[in-house]
Amino acid sequence: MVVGDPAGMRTLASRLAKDAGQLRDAASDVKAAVRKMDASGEWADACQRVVEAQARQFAAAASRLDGLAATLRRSATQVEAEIRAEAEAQRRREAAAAAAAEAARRAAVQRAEDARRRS
Amino acid sequence: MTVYTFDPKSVDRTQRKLFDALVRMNNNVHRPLRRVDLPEMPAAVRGQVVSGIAEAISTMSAAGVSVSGVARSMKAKSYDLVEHKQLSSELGWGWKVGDAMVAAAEFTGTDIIHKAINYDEYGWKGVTGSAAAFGSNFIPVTKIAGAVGKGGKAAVGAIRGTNAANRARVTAQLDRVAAAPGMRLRRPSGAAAPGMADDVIRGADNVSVHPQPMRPGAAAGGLADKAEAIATNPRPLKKAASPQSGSRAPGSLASDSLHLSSNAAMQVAMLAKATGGGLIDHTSTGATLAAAKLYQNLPAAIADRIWGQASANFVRAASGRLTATLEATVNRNRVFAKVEVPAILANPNVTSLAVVRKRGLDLQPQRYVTISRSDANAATKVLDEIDAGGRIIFNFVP
Repeated sequence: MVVGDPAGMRTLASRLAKDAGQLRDAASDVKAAVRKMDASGEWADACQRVVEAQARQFAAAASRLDGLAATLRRSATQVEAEIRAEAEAQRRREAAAAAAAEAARRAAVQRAEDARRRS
Repeated sequence: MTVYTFDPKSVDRTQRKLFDALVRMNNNVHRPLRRVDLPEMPAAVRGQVVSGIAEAISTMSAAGVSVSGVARSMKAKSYDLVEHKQLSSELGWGWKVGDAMVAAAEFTGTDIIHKAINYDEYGWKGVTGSAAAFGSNFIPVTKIAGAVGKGGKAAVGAIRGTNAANRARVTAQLDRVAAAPGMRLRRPSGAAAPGMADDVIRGADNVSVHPQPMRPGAAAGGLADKAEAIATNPRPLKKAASPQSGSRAPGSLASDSLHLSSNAAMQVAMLAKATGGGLIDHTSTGATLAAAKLYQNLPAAIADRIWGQASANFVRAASGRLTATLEATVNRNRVFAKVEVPAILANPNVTSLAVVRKRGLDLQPQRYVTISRSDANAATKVLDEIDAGGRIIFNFVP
């Protein structure tokens, strides 16, 4: 049995991608803010260094979320394919069963006809 | 030497932007992500997603805390000034006055308020303290305070209204801000003051220089600065600069004519016109300084100093016979005694000095006195003779 809710996974993937976008915006905002700050010297340089480093961390977290979104989408696609395959197999199984049942019914009918003629 | 600059307004804006970004991130990403409902998914993917989200949350938290720390650092620095605002509120000065002070401090550093406090110690009125403190070395407080909706004297007036303990608190607070490591409040850019205002204040009789050195580089613009600039402006003097022949009627110094009534001043002007001389008031420098009403707007010591500079230029450019209209006695601490007489004695082109009394303005001399320029006590002798009374003509010899 295939495990997975492709629609739910795609919804989650979209949400993570959106979060990643917001994180990147935050990273961009904080970087821009410190770059525009009208201050110089050791303290200001330290502020800029720290904020830019942390902005890279935000961007890294965003990339991580983007990666998860991609994984979820790929997985959803795979789950969907598996579900489709399973459904097809099921359909085939059911068709075969139906065909077998039909054949059995016809055979039964034929046997009954043959018995009636002999009698 | 490394110079650190620091614009509190800009830092304030930056820290607010950082906090805004962090709050948005927390509300829109961080917090919701911690409560995410996972849909059904393959176990392997589920493991990746759970660990990935946890990792992202952890990274986000650490970075957010770090950025928040930076923002708090900015807040601590820029909002030291807000403490002043709070302090001013506590002292009952009101927020608007606090704003004015903060605006002033932001633009000029803390000296501006120190000065206002110190000037107040000398019993100067608020407006005088304002003009002197803010006009002498820094940008006009009226402009700053006007921008925040208060008159220029509001800040100084507020400081005047408080007691010594409160002043001490403010001073200590400002000292602490000024001493913060790596911090130096940005000063306004613009034309550098010539530093003369410093000299004026340093040399003024009734003013002590503030313990903190006055820093040059602030934009000029106050009354004293403007007057200083005018007094020292090397623009040619109109009449006095032109050589006067010995046959011409004497010129006239007018240093003390500032204090004459308008009627008397008019008489002096008519006298100067009738004799072909020139009053310092009629030079571009003198006219501008007179129009500025220095003695009404600045402490006498500073006004004297400014006038003294203008007078010294005037006398240096004069030649021939000069006339001075004076009171019965000469104040030895004022411009005539301290500046003009030494300048006259130092100018070899001046051949004589006629002293006319303001009362009467009679030109007819009562006595003649010969003064040797080489005499070390020449200036004292001139002043003593003047104090002895009468209309005198001093003839100068080498």
